[in-house]
Amino acid sequence: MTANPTEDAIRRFLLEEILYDRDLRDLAADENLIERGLLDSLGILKTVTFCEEQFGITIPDAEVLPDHMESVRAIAALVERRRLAG
Amino acid sequence: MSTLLHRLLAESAARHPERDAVVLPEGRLSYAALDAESSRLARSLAAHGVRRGDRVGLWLPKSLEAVVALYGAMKAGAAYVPIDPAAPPARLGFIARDCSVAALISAADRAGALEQAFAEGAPMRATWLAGSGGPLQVAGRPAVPWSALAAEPATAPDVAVVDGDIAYVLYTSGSTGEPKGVTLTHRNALAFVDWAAATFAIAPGDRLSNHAPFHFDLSTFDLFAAAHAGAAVYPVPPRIAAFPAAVARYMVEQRLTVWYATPSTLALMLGRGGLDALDLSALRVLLFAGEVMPAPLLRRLMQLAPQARFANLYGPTETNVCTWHEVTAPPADDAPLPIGKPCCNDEAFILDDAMRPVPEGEPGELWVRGATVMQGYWGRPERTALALQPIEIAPGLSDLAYRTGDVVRRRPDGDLEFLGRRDHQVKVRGYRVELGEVEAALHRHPGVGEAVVFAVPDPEVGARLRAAVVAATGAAPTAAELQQHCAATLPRYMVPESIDFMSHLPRTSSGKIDRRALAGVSRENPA
Repeated sequence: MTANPTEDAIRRFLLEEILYDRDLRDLAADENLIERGLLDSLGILKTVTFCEEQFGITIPDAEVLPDHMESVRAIAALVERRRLAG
Repeated sequence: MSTLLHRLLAESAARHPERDAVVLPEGRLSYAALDAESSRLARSLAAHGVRRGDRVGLWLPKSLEAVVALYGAMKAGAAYVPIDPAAPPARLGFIARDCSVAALISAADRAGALEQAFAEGAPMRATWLAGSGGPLQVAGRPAVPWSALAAEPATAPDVAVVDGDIAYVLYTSGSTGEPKGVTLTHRNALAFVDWAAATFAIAPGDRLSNHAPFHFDLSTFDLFAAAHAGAAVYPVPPRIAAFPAAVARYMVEQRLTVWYATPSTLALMLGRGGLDALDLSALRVLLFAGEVMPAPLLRRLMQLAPQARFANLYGPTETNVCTWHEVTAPPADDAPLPIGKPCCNDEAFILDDAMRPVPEGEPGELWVRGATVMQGYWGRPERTALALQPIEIAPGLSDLAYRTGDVVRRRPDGDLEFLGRRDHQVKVRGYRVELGEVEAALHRHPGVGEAVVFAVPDPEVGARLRAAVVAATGAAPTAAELQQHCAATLPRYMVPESIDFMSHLPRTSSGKIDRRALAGVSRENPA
């Protein structure tokens, strides 16, 4: 666990809803979810919906790109940017 | 006319050595380079004992090496067996053993998963590892690093292959709980490739997209129609494949001229990928298959690329494409798009349960015979005998035909119309899923007493899988445990997205599980 509550919430969601076949302890904030094939198109749609509802933001489709979704840290950074855009 | 798939490559290499054969962001291979690299791999395979009639498994992401691998396998006289690179190791192990691959081509960074897949023994003599580095052995057998191929001669080994030899084996979901390998010969594949390349006038200047994974038969058009013409194939880079906005931009920036994709891929590119804001003027041909194309989506695509040709291709893996329908004007209403008329030297028959032709215009089951029809399921003579049966094609004349399980009817204009399935097969993002295979996986968990899997229609991904489970006496498994259990043996798209626990399963008056009631219940109470 990190001290970043956004990252923690995203990690918890991913582990519970998408990466249920993974060991809870081994998802580092900078682990590449895309290169490891952990996020497919449906997983990405679900993650975007979760972030929008959980953090009260909107994420435009054009922002849903590999660079913005490739790790827990990248997704948390996207959430922070969208909060500021709010 | 070429009679072997890898001869298409050799001929294009002779005619257009410098033209691009495969293009990815990581690099490109000219026809000369693809021909040379695949010959080197074939030499290496042959040196390790791969012979005509063998199988060579492929378990690696889309890459230049993956394209080299499938041609290398065929040049060594073997059939290539592409295995979902996202499949869990247990499924890789099952498929590799099921068709006893003589060789496996994978990637250096997958060494750990390979050991897991073959913990109980490995069928292959050796494993080739794309990328750099990697172990010296996999599952106790030699591992050949990609760098070793440079020492091999760049000419194909002298292996006699005939067009009746198996070119590839594609594993699809099996209703009895295990995937089954559909075997297709060079002749089967070329009946489709020759037809498609001619019908859509694929030319050296074309740039073909490749969306489908190599274990999905749509990829045979992308790879081999391109090789047929000396055109370039652009596999969608794995890094962006799941991002509709990135894929749409990539295809437009590369000015791809021929697209072949499932309707759900196209729906995501349009609905989520901003395709409607991009310049589609390079698009010349748009083909779709694998699912029913919704009329509103097709109308929108035809508006965006009025210059392009559009065609609906139909056929299960067992027949590749066997019927097609060209759409010449946007559909005026939302009536289902026909699957059209037979092509590729195939014939279609609409039969009732007693295998008699139905009256004209009546619904019946579609049977297909002809040039593209598979040889059978690898190592499963009983399943093959059920799928391929002699039917009367003219008075006193019978021939083997493939029973599709699809219910169709013939319209007055002769076009076939798809009405539905006879069984419990569904499509999830274009992938064929036998609900029985998912149910069998659930039943293998000791905490499951009864399980039923059903599909809830979804506008973006075709269908979402859900399960209803009655726990075994004294057991209380959680949804996450069961999903985890399924994900150990099934590809991700086959794992139910939610699991509802019930005290008993709803049944119809005849005692069958009421899947329709379940779909209704489940929508109201999502788990």
